[in-house]
Amino acid sequence: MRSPESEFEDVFLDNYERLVSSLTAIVGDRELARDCVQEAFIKASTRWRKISRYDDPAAWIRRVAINRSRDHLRSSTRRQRREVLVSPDAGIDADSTGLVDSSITLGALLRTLPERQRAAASLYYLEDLPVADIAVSLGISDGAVKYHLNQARSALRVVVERQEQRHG
Amino acid sequence: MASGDNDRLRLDRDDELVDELLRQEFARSFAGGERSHMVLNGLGPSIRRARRVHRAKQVVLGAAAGVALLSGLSVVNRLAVFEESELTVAGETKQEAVKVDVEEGEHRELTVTLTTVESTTRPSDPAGDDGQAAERDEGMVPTTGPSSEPVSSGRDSTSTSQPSSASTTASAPTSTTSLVSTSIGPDGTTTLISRCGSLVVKPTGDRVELIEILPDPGVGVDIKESGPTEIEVGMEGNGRHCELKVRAHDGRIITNDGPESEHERG
Repeated sequence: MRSPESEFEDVFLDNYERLVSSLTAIVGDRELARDCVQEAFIKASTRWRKISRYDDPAAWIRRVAINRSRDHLRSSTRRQRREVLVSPDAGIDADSTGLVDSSITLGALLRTLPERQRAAASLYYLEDLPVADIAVSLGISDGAVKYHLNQARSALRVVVERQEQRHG
Repeated sequence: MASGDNDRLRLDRDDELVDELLRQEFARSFAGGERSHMVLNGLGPSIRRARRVHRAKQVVLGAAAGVALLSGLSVVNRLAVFEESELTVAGETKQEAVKVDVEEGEHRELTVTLTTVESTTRPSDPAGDDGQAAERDEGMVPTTGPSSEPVSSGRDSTSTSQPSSASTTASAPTSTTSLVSTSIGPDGTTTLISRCGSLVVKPTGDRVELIEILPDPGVGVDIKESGPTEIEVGMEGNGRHCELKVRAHDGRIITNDGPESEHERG
């Protein structure tokens, strides 16, 4: 017989790293991804009795984490816009946004994609989620997920081709 | 011909090879580097604090909803948020349809049966992480009644005819009483709710299986018998002591509250 606490710990240990990785790919900032995933787990812990009965508790946590990251990004975008208005030099230095190192080719390329494409690709390629689960996580239809995945695949093909050229 | 073969090859690569290579590239670029165990340990205080705040919020909201009911206010179609809270209300037994904010963006309409034995209004103990009420709101058949007069099953109860219902009851405020109420789930499990916490068991013929023990915060558990013919669990803490003894006969649960408390599966 497992206690709710140990069930929660198991779900945390099984999913935390994976969720942080995929959210890092989505938001381009590992620190922000960690914060959002941890916030989602804390929220889940307050109502664990209920969430633990879901078919996939990690899906609930993933969705909350993604929503949190959107909130954070929205507020940081607003902040950056204000800073641009205040300072003529603000916003020029890309590193100040805390985004991933641009030397990471895939990361740099991902940053150029629209958010939905980035999210769909990250969940598909990193977490290996089926289209239906991605749709639930992003709150969009299966068809929309397929569309975004196709778009993302086309855009990211460059990375693969570059890899192939490097390896002959 | 050769050109056609190349085209076909390129199409296959689109669907499978490119995906596979992208998976590798994603894993190489983003995966790893997290120390989950350390993070979990570090999060411990935040989790405990969040749970305390959440429980306090539930108690306040539950009390507010109780006051609204007592004042004779109709709460139908209102957002009465007493998720996972349990109420004991003075006055006669009431039934109210309330809309419960179970989760963000997720609303469920429940019929709540309030049975009174005390002349006080209080929010229930914030049992466990999420309380007990929410655990009974999904497909559970509630039974109501104080421990001295347990009402068996939900067949003859008004609340049984409504599959999505929650019930709240209270026993006399004794420190050694055991059972407060029971509810029977569609999966055959029976939840025995006491003043110290809950016990989930599953009867099969004359055998009974211990599924889960959910003690209230601060309550210690002593499993004296864990089946298969009898389950005996003692719970003590917060100035309360509860003894729950459970047997099964022909798939029916028999508790230590006497033969009247037999609960037939609904």
